[in-house]
Amino acid sequence: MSYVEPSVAIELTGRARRRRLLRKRFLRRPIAVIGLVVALTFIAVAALAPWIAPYAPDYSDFNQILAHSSREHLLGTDELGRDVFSRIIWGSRASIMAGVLATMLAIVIAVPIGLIAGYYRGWIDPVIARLTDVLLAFPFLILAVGLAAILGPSLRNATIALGIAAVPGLIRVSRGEALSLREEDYIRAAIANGASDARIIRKHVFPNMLSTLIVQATVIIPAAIIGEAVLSFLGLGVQSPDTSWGVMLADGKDYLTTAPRLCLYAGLAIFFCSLSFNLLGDGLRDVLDPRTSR
Amino acid sequence: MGGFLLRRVGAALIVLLLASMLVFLGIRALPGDPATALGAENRDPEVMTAIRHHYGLDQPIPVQYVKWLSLAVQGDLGSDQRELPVAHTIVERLPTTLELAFLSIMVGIVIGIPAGIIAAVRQRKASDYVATTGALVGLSVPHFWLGLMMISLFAVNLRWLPASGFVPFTEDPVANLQHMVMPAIVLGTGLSAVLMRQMRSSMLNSLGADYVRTARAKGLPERSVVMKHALRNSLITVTTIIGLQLGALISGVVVTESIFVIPGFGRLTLDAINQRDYTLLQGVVLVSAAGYVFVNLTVDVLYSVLNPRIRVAGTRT
Repeated sequence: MSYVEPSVAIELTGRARRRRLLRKRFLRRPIAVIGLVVALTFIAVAALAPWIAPYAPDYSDFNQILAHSSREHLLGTDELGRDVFSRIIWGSRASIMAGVLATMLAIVIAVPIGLIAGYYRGWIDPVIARLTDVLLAFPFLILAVGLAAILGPSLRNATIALGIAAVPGLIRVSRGEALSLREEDYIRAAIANGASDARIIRKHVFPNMLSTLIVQATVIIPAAIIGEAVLSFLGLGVQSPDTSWGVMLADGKDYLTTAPRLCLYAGLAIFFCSLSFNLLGDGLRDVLDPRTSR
Repeated sequence: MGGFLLRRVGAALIVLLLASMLVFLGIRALPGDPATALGAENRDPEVMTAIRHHYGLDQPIPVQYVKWLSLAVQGDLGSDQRELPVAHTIVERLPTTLELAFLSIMVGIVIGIPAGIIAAVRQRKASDYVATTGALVGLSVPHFWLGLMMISLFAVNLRWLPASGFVPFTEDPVANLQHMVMPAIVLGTGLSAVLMRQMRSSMLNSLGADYVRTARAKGLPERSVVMKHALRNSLITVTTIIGLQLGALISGVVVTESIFVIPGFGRLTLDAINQRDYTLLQGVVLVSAAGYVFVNLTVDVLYSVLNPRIRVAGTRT
């Protein structure tokens, strides 16, 4: 092998030290830690819904229609006598699934495209840049609504629509990162050492993009969570009787005069869920920002 | 400057042309045959063929596209399911939405910019934390839910404002504004959160810059240092942010108009989707993309006028 990896040992210990430093910096931010804990709680609730929720999401107690909160029904019941607390727990599944999977989908599609455009430049870069501009001409939610309409209403399709709608913005970010990283001295050194493009991208460009991507993910997740709620609210996502926070808002809006609490609880769930990811994202941005971490 | 302008306009036109192709193909990808929607209950194959022929649906897609585009640039976007001209419907609905957008941007500016300035000037003090927290809350709140809660509080419980509906400004300005207050606040608070954060970070940058230190060293009063020197440069960045936020505003308009039952452009978009009205949807999406591209072009040009460094540097990467 003609390519010599310089000072592997030092780099490894340096990386470990950096990781420890980042963890310390993160733990010193109580608000970011709270964000992480709450976000993880929402994920755990979504995963464990069948075991936590006191009732099945579609179980109707017709003796208790639009009941106020009680020992039996912590947050009361809705217009069909369904337990609101249980439905919020079950509804977290749709939100977390849409939020996390849509973000993963966007990353899987956008990052390779952005990397290729930014790293290779040449004719491919302006082509990708223009195509991104075209997709960016459609606002995120309009794109998601349009795609959801094309794909048909369901949680899976709403997730795909939200993921694809997040792609153009993410391509732009990863392309910009790859463009600037390419000019770094260590990349030039690797090229001079005769490393292959694939190796440089895998070993040098991509790892250095990670912090930006993590921060981007914490921006896209809450956007997708709210996006799912909007799509379901408009009838383009999860369909009743299946539950999601957006569906609960859509059902509850007809009872705004008699039982505004139906909308209140579902909306608070969306709010706290997206707030937790935003807090986490802000904290991570402060910690990972290379200008402050060196 | 002329070359720069030409380049920017050219790029915007190319983007718009490609966007129009995407809209056209996207609408064709929608499930369901438009002829079935147009034929309503009539499923007679002969009638179907006649409908397809009448609307040119039997021609190859590229031919349909060129035909559609050449009519669209002349302001003819075809007729919708009720045989009404789409362009006319859009022009009819647009002023309502533009008014809502204008009021929302005003709300966003009035809250966001002062909050950002105060937070930057009083960094790490109580007012900074209040403003920063408020912005985070504003970013995390689902705005259509905020709309529902405001209806519940101000319309249902307190009866201060009408819950929904719309009165044209020309008919009754007071009633018009009463109907617009809640939607404008719903959309404006989201914008103000973004503006506040941008204003704060950009002011912090300016306040640390050399020219601000010079201004302070000259003995200028702090007030004039902040308002004249730091603010002026920060506003340039914020102008572009308002342009970029227009996309979020267009998205927000769709949901907000549906909650407050405002017969605007956003409501029209949803109706077009729900009624599977392809011609209408096509026109609506094209117009919103065109509007977005146009505003971003304007912002781009404005930015280069305000900041000559961009213009001299030429193309941005």
